[in-house]
Amino acid sequence: MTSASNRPLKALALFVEAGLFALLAVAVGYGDFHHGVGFFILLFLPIAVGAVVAATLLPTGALAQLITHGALLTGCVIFAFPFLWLVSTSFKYDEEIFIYPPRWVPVVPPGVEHSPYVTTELLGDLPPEEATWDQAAWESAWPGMASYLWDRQGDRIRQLPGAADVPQQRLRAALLHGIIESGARRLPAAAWAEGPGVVIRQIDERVDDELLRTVWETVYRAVELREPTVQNIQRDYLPLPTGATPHVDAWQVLSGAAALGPTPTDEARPSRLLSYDFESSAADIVIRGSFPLPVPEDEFLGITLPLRQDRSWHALRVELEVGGRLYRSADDLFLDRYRWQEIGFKLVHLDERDERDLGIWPLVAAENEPDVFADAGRFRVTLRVEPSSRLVATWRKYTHHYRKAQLATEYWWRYVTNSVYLVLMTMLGQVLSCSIVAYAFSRLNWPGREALFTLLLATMMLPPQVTMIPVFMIFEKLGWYNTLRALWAPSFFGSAFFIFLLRQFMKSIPNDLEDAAKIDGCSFFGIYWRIILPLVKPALAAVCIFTFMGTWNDFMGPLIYINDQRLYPLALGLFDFRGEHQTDFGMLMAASTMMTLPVIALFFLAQRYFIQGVTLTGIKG
Amino acid sequence: MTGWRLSLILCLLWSTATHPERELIVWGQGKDRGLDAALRQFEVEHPGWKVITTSGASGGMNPQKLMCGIAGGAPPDLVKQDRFSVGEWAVRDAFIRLDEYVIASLRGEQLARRVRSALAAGDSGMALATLGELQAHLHPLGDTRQADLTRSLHSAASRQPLAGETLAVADELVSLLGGIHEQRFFSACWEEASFGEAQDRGVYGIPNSTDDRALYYNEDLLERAGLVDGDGRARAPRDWQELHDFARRLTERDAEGNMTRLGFAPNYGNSWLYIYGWLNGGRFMSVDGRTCSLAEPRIVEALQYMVRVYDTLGGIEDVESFQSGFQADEFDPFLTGKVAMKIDGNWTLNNIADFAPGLRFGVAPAPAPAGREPITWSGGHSWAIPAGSGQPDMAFELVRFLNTDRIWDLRYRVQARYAASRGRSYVPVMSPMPHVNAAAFERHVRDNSDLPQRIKDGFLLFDRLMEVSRFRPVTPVGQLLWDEHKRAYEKAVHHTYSPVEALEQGQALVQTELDLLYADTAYPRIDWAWPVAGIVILAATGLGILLWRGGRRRLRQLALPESIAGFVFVSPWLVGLLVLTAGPILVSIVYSFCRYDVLHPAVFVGLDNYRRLFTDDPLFWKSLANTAFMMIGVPVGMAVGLAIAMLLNTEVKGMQAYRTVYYLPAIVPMVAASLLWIWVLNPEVGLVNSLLRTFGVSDPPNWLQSSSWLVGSKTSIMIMGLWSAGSGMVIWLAGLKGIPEHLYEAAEIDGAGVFGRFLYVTLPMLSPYIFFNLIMGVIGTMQVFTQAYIMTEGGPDDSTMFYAYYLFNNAFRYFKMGYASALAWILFLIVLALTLFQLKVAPRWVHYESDG
Repeated sequence: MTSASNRPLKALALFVEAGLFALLAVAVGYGDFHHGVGFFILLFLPIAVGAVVAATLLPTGALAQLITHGALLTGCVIFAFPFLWLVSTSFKYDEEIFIYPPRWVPVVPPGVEHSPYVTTELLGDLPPEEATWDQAAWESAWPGMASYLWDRQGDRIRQLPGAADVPQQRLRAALLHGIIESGARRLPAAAWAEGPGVVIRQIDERVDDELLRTVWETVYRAVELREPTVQNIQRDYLPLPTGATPHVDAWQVLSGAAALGPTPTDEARPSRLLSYDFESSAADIVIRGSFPLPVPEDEFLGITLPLRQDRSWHALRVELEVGGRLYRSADDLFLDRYRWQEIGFKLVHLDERDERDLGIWPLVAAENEPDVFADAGRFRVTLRVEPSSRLVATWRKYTHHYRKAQLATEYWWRYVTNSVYLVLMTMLGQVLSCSIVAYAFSRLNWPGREALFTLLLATMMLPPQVTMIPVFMIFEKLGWYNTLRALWAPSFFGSAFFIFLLRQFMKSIPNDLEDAAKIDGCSFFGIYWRIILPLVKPALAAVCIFTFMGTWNDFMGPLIYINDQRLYPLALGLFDFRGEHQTDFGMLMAASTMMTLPVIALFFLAQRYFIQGVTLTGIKG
Repeated sequence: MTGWRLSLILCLLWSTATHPERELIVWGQGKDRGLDAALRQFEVEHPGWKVITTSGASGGMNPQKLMCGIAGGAPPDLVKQDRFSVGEWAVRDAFIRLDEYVIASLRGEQLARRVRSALAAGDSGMALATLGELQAHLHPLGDTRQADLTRSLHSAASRQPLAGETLAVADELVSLLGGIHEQRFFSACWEEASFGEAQDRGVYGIPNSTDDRALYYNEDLLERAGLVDGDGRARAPRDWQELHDFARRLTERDAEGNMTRLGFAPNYGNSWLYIYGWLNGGRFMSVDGRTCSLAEPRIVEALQYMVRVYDTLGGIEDVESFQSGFQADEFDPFLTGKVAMKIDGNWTLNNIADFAPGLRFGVAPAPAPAGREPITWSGGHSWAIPAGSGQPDMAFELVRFLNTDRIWDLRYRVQARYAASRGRSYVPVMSPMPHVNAAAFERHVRDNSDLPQRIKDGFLLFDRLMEVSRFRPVTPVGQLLWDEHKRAYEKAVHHTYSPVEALEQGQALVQTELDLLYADTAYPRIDWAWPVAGIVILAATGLGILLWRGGRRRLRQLALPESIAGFVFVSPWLVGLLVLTAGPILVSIVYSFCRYDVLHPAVFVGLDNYRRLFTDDPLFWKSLANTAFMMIGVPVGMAVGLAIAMLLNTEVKGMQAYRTVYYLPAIVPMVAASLLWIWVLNPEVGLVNSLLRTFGVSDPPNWLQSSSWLVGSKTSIMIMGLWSAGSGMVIWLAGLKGIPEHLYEAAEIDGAGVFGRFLYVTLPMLSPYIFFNLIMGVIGTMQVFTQAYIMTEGGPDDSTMFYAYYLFNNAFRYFKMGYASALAWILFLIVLALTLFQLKVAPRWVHYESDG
């Protein structure tokens, strides 16, 4: 390591220090030290310390490398931090997103082997928000409170519908946790000052059936199913014709370590509880039932399957047999929710519309299947639950929002293609036109050059809003409204900013080469093409980057000119997406990540040309 | 003969090849499964037509996009428009008046009914005659299902005896041809989409949805606080005084004084000054619509009341900082008990049904001052047909179709199914027609065992309240009135001004606009001949002088070929300049002396725009000050950028990865980045504040929610800018790489230390780059727009009302193109002056190597 490479480091250290002092002075001068400075220090201190150490120690070799890396890494953390947050959010359950304190690593789902089960996933942390005690006081009081509460409420808890089927130790922990959390909300604030005995007595007094039921619904997870209903090609939803026995009895477990039993919770509409144990056997669970058709076979479009899931992320495969043909679900479905849900399936050859974001999944006909169910006037449904390991469950959970975002945007790949096309065209336009114009401004003498250059500078200051409407009229007259041309064509007229940038670079090229070429009889275009252009490559790279960024992120332009969603570039697509899914934060973050990743990859790969071009060429000789 | 046939066939082929389907463009629709299904049904019943929907970006209708569409002669055929703005567009002739369409739709229905009764009575002569009329009536729409049915009835009616199913077909025809009846709508909804005086009054939008507001209260929390009736059950506050007291008693704080529960905040939920003003018997506009009465005593009282409640709770910033941690859906603070009472719209019922069906809550009309009747106010959307729509007939047919009972029923059914597919229960959205709501109640609410009784009661209350609903004044200055009422509220609760002052300022601004619109002075239409001629002469003279002076001095020294080459090479930019910049600029100069709303011809008002800017527009000065403040960010941003570049200029392994990371923030799309930063800077749950709290700052700033100059919304936007300072690094890196090594070595020999070398070598050598970045930074800052547009919408308390955003608002929100052009020109002059100044002083400190 030579001293030359340390020079910038030392310089940087002093520079950052000076900046920091200036900021401090401003903050102190305003007298609001406490508010402002905290954040600034947080932002600058790590860089400053790293840099100062590097500069003062003036070490050589490995140590210098180390310190430089340290400073760079600290900076990386600060700069990548919001982006990492964005990515991390895209991996979260909706319930995890807005919690305080924020959760850095998204929850890893448990590998569920037994169901039904209870989980504290959706409960807040203990002690409850309302508690005024500190953590230590809480921890010493909690075991006593818990056993008191269990003594008083244990019997009622054990009698909750389904409570007998879950592991008792988990049941106790989850229920007491939930009761404390809900009970605390009903407690007068003064109670907390009176000590654990009073608190727990008062909570105990407030436990009623409604509270127990609410807590139970929050912690209990089970797979339950009802009979399917049928959809005909007019898209009416038809119940099955009533028979002698409830249709839900038709469901049978064919194989796997599972059993179907009566559901403890829902009496109003008959349903069956699926309890399984993948620990004893990891084989798939197959459930099958056949049901009478309420419509003629040729009017049958699909079924709706009411299913309560247990968020175990096991895979669910669905087969439907009707009229002697077998149909399979083409998509991967997962047991990813924990409420009742009606999943729709339709025969895709009868209705090709993609309605997966509506919860209607396509069924594709399978060929050459043996033993297909062919009873007239009936259909048969086969559900297959494939167990997933914890790793697989995690992958499915982490990519959940990405799949959703994919389904919710019909035109995703169109957006990408449009953006890439626009970027390429604008780059081409800017590079060609700006360089030749800058050449004229920097290396050629012609009357009015200086005046026009001032004019050029002046146009940079022009707010785009001024010309927006008239320019729109012009493009509309040319028939460019609602075409991508309206977005890339202006780049072929150059842009003041880039012309200015390139002119500054070209001005610093020595005249010798050009003079030599002139003597050799080279034309002006020849000089531009053969001598100037190769020399300003790095600057052109910068122009490319800026153009890329500008085009990639531009949404005002497309917003005005593009009418047809199929012509949207990504930025506008995302803007639109944001408008439609305001509250679906996880999905928004997933879409943002998907939009950003290709650019990052591209930048990472192409920066060799962009930046190393700059580093290798000594512009000033 | 063959040739003729061939060409006919070719012609037909051509027409089918080029127009396989005719398209109906609909904007602003948003994601609504029910409506999607209805549009598909429309396509089925209207073969050959395809409905193309565009959400119109960001959910709501973007006025700029629609205005461009209308001005450019390519508007959509139908837009879903926020109803209170329909009048504003109508007054500018941007929407078609729909009265005649409404009458025609009634006639269609009437004819169908007459056919049915004639058929029922066996009077086939009468039926045939009426069917003939109906066919003529339906003819303009072409082949549709109703036309098919009419035709089949025609052939059925001419045969005797009538077939059994004929009557069923007639019934279907009646239901297909349901018309638009004014009386079937809530009057508030219909009136809000109508505009004009006396003879000129007409309807410009057909209501599509509606909403209204009432008080929600959490019974558990009220009971806990002892706010109960004789039976010990929670009771809603009955008047303003009680509401104030309840708000205080229900609000809770922890030991450190941080709010842990909000009892009630006047403007949390969806209420605005509007509801308090109306509850207090106020009027926002005079009956004739010519006078704005925003500052009338009753509205002042209403605002004073809001301020009083906020002050009792500990001030607006405290409340808003607590609110900033609020989320939607299952974490809605009302559902989780963080808010005890709120005035909010009927849509909250849906949320409760979805996420907290067990919640013990009640709904009551918003409390009024003692002795006054409860009222509510409603908003919602209307369908409007923009002027210049290519297919107004079919567009209205779609509106009519969507408002028939059977389609409403279809929409409800599909929505209910979608809710079920998501595992959620369903409360029908409120329709602007009471009988549709009644049917929806019957079908989806009354016997729905998934819905708790409280929700059913709530549904009925909201429907009933629509009868006493007010609506935002229909006026050409509706948007301005809304903005000013909101501004006055913000100023008053922040105690920037007293309620009276704040309201009077708003009223004055709205009144000025009204006076301008209703002024009797007939301004001359702009005659384009003379400004164009003048400008051309001026430009020609300027150019002539320039060439002559330049020519006299230098032409002889210049080689002719080089001059020609110069002009040729510069021509791409020159052409662009003339066509895309100069032309539009000249147009905008002329506009700055005009009043112009894009949709009408401009009228010449002289210096009026400029006079008003400088004399009675406080926001102009405020936005200038805000923008000037943002200049602080320029040197800071440059310093950070340079620092990063110097770090990245070292020679270590893995530089590629480092550079990517530092450049990352610049690559994250603005939309995503702004979304992210709103959240990162959230005062309650944001990352920055949770870090600050970890570091022991007990009362971290409110960032974007604070109007403070030091650490408020502007500083937040600056920090966001610093984050993406890496984008300038390419230029800095280029500069650093260009500094020859020998200069440093020479400096070292001369005894310069680290600081000396930076000061005497790096900085001077970088001076062209510093100059460049400085100019670009200043220009960029003068045009700060996107952050304000996406993140803050100018708030809070106008603290992020930047100049470019204010300009944009004038142009595209208030349709004041002339005024906006004047603003643009002042901006242009300021930037020009700043740049010229910098260019002037540049030679003193900028060092160009080749100049030396």
